[in-house]
Amino acid sequence: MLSRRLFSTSTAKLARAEVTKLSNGLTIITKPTNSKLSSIGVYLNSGSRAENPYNSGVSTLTGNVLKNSSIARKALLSSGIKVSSTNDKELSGIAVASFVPGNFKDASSTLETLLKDSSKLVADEFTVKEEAAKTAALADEFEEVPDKMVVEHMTATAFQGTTLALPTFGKAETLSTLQAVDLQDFLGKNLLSSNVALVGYGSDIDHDALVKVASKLAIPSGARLAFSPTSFLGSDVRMRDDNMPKAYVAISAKIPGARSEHDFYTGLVAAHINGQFLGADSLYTSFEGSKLSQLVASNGLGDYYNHFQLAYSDIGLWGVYMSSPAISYLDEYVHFVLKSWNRFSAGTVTDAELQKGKQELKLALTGSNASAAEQTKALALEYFARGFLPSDEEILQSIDTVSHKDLVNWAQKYLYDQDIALAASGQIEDVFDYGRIRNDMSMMRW
Amino acid sequence: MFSKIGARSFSTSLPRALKITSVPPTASTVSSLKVLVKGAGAKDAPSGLAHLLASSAFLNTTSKSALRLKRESELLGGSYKSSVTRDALVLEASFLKEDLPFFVNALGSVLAETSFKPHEFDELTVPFATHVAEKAEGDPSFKALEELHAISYRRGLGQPLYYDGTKSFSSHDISSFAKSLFTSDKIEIIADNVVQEDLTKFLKESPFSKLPSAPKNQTVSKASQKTYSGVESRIRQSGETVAIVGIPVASSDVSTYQLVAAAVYSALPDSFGATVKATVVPYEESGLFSVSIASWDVSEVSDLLKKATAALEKASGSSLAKYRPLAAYLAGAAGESVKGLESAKTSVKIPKFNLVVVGDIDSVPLADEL
Repeated sequence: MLSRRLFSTSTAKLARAEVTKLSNGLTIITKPTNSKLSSIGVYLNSGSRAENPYNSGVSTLTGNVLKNSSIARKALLSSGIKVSSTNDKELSGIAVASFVPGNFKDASSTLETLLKDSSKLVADEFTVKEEAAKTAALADEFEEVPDKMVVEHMTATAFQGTTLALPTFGKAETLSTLQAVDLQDFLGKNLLSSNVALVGYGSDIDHDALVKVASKLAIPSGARLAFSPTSFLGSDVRMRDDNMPKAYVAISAKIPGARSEHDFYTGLVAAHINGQFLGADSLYTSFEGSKLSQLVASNGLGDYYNHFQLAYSDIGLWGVYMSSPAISYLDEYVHFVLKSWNRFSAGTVTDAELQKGKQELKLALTGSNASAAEQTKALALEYFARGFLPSDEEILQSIDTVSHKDLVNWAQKYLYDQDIALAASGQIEDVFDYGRIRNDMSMMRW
Repeated sequence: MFSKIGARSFSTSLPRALKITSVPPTASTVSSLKVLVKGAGAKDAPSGLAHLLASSAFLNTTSKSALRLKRESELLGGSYKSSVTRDALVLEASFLKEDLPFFVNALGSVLAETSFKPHEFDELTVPFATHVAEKAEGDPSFKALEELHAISYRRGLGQPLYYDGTKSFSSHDISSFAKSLFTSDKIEIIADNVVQEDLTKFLKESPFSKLPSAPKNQTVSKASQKTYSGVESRIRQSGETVAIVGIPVASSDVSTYQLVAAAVYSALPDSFGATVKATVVPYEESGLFSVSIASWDVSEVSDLLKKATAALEKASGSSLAKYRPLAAYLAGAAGESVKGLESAKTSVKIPKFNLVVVGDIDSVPLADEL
């Protein structure tokens, strides 16, 4: 009854990102919307995973050199084109231009110039040193943000010994040793046509126009070396700091990569069933239907948690990030969160909870709350990880097909009695040892 | 559970005064509604009352409990929230396109049917409003901007945005404040990705149609907003240091000052450690131009502050036309309208600025030293 439509919505077909692949492998992706700002970005399917322990941070640094260049500064001041850069495990947004609709021409010519001059920009030893020092300072700052930092270290311990474990934004020690030749080497091996996507998002983005821009970009043809294979290792890492006000913990289990179509959506639905807990930051926390939310709220176990699925191209992590000022309850907090995961395997998740997870996910995947620049990143990430971009209609259908049984099967396969990766920081004297927490992944009763 | 939605029998005439703006539907599957209640903002009520009212939204109504509303919205996947600005109370909901009738009803209920129970006021509203206010106060940039409002406007727009506990209110105060305000002439609905005819139809069937219209003999005798310039305020505290230069401007000058903001922004060098913001916030009766500089390094703050005030002086009376593209980006990025920029006056005589410094105030120059 819930999905019964009370009226016709629209005759227009649902939104779909348009994708074109040029003969040299360069991909162009556009999605039209009516956002206040538009964005076009040059994304490499590389990121920190394409680095090694000796040049860790080089992808972030390359983006920073381009975005802080005089070309970018001039574009902002004289044409209102803001150039930013971004990085991820399997993606580097080396130049992303955001602008007010109507400025498409100036934005695309800014990107053209930046790419044309990129080899010159990264060859300047002085600039590289200066930017490397700033990027190193940012990498240190990143370590001060508990939520991001704990999840980063959780990923690092999960995939330890492989390039997927390298820090997304580099490490200060390595960054300060990087030289122009490292950046040139990175661009030479990664700025290659079949490794690049040009992504546009906004109201004045015309697909054909962007294809024309793409064919003019100075990108040599070729493909990068395949990512080296990775493997998951159940392990934990603790960075205790009693000067921090709370305890911060991230726990996850191994899941298949984003190309495992059905598992991909089932895992996302599972993440949204437990979802996010805002505690005192929401007026409506006490009314939430989630069993875990009620337990945490009524017992004061913690002030925040969020369940996530990080799906890379060939492997992924499913888990939770949680924080609590009640440091002496951390053992119970961790225990009850993992017990709530047991409910997926035991099949005691109710239909209402499943429905809530599915509906919330539909809005999360098809809504557009993020900025235009973030949207281009999301499109590129999904395209690189999954190899295609589904339309909104296909997303809704895929979510609808996730059944209670699928959820149980998924959880029994990937969560029940599986090894975990754990990272914790802050006042964590009450986070149990690995063995005791690992035991909570299974049950003595069924 | 939801079969009642279509069967409601309310008056079928849509109150004429209700103002509806809708963005044409796109191919997206997600719609959103925003309801503005003019006259329910922080400037219109005794300090804190408007924030408490905003923190009472989507709780128990005569037709539905807060628990039921939350659980039903979860099953539909939609979300709702309420916030206060200086000009208005803002109710927002975003949801899948087909759930429009449910959320039109939910938003209408907040305005027409909220119960304002005393226990909810004590157990939910006041603790939540206090939490929001304390969290915001913890951010020195917010604190500095609040102080800038206070010295630039004193009354009205100068009142604090959030409930600070200075005055004590009861659920009865909120309830009577709401009753006097929630009339159809004060409501504006902004719909995104919604078919206008559908919206009008559902509005007619929703509690929105039960809202009274404004009393006929109501005479608007509000004092117009006074502004003050050349004032300075400094708050000593530990942590990050924030300096904010501001000028209250006439509503008609907002676009011109967007150009001034761009001129000042472009005169400041790219700085690594400092966060620089140059904006003009438009209000109903005024606009507040401001340039804020925040950094943990206080020498960087004073350095940039000197450059900003010098740029402000230079911008006064000179032609600002060349800053249009940057101004458009800055306004667009801040979510403000860029429509007025094309026709804006490109030169303006800039009056004496107001200055607020929060943090290590000893190391930041005084206004008359700038």
